[in-house]
Amino acid sequence: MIGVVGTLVPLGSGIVFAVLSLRLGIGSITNPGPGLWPCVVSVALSIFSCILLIHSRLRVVNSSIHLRNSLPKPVLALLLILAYAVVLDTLGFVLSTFLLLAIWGRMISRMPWTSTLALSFLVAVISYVIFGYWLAVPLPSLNF
Amino acid sequence: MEALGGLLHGLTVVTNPINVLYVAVGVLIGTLVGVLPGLGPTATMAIILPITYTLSPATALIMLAGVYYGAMYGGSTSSILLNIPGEAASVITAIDGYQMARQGRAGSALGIAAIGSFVAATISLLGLTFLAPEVAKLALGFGPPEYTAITLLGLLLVTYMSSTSTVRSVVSALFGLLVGTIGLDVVSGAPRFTFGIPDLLNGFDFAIVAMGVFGLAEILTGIEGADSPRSLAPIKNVWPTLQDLVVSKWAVLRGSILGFFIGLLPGGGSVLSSLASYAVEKRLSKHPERFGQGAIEGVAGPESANNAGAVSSFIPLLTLGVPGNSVMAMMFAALLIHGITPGPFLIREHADVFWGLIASMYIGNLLLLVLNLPMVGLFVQLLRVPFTVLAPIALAVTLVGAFSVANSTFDLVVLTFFGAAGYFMRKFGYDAAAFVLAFVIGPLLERSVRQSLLMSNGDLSIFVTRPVAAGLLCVFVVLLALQITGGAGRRLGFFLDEELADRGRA
Repeated sequence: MIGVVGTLVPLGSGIVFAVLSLRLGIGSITNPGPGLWPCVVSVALSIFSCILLIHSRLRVVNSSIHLRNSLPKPVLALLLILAYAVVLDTLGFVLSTFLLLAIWGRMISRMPWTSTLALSFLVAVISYVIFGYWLAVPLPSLNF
Repeated sequence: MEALGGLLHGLTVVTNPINVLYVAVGVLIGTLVGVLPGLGPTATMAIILPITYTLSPATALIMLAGVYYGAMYGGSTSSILLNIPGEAASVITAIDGYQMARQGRAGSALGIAAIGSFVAATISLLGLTFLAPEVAKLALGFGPPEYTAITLLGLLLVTYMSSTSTVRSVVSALFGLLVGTIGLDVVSGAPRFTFGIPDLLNGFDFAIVAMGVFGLAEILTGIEGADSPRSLAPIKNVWPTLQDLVVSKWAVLRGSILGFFIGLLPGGGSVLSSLASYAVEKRLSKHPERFGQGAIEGVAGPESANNAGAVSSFIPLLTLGVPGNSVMAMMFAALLIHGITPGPFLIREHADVFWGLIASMYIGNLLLLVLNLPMVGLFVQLLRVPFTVLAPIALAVTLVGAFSVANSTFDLVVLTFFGAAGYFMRKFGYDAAAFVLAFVIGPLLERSVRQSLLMSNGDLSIFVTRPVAAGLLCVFVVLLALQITGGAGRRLGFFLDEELADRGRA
């Protein structure tokens, strides 16, 4: 079943992008429009996803997917990074990074409080020194 | 003679103190990530790619290349001592290397891996030095139709050699091509699939995509597994005995040559080289039953082959402008970012980049021999660093790197998106390397198709009337047909045991 879900995403994208490419205008072979190349690619994508769908229905896929057991941590991690992107401009680099790593350390790495705080602090400060100071990346500062 | 002159020029470029420093930094980072399980060379190169934006093109490439071949050396360490490969090309080394370590011969295994790597890299470098200028000369006559054919064939071969199902890899590659079309159309200037988001007008930045699909996705996969305490095998001394050297010398030579040729193929590179070398050594051995029980040839051959393959995989990139694997896609992108399009003209128009890079590998390999023989004990201590500590550090560097590309938080959102995409691609068995490769080649492929059609006034026969393009496309069609019908089902099965192929996939 999971194998089927995995093929529906590329199949769906292929169809949606094929329609969008048609709207862009495919022009002609002598005068190709912006949509011609994406259209060719999306049609090919749809065809190969169909082949894959047929393959995965015919054969029992020996999949190594245990989504239920493994999903929470990576999904949590992705949400944390999105939240980081939102607060970065307001809280500044050092504080946001420290908070991200502290929450990461407690909830994802399951480290004890002391080592979490020490590691988060060190990584946030050292990366600021290397990137913000030494490599002169204009990292956001605290900005209320 | 031309090659020797070029190499001398390259040496003057690379002996500039700044460049020597970056060779050293590159191979040191490479050795570290090679040794540490959890973060491979591709992910690392993706993560540090933005840092190289500020360097000169030659320096940037020198450092990135150092990370790659440095990781080939370092990868054997954790394979041998822990039975955990530090990167994919060392998977096979773990079989006999770890057995040797358990029998108290860890030093011999580590030593022969370092010496074999050095010999193989040097042989392969000689091949690169003398072959690359000739290949570039051949390719000078290539026009857009030939470029189209060679790129298509390259992409197909990548999917052909991938460890996942071939049709899945084709889907990954097509998906990459599609994502590559997002942004302004280079010819008409019309925005494509930008959905009114101004940040998308220039398309997705390669560095962000690579950092997401390789870097972040690797971190996400890493945090799933529980960190088990590691027990290290004791090491006595890292010099192999004379007998070890005598037993392994042919394995090293065969591995070097095999690796060199496999590295030339798109999709080849280091991983396949090491698998093939192990299979060959086992087949040629008078006592194949020793393999799996601590046969030194099972370490010497693959470790030599992966270094030779890593070096020779630069040839298609530097001479034809076709990246054959995801690491070369990274080098390709690094060149494009500096306004250099790799291809047959690289050697003439950017001789300092071309020869500087090649010369730097000679120096880098010498440094690696020093790092991996007398200093291996230092790196072994690093194996005690658990992934729970490594992950936050890698994450922080990834986030800063992604932000620094355009100093924009929007890129962090894009990074998260591609991190999720890369993670699920792994879960569903799609080939992330084919995706990234297609993404980077896509715009150039489209341009060469459109240029070909302009040349012929829209006549598609231009692809079949020019002999080189027609020949390449013939091979392309045959391979594609074989793939769809499943006739090539076992792909490389003709020289790989099932068991080996499974380990390679793991």
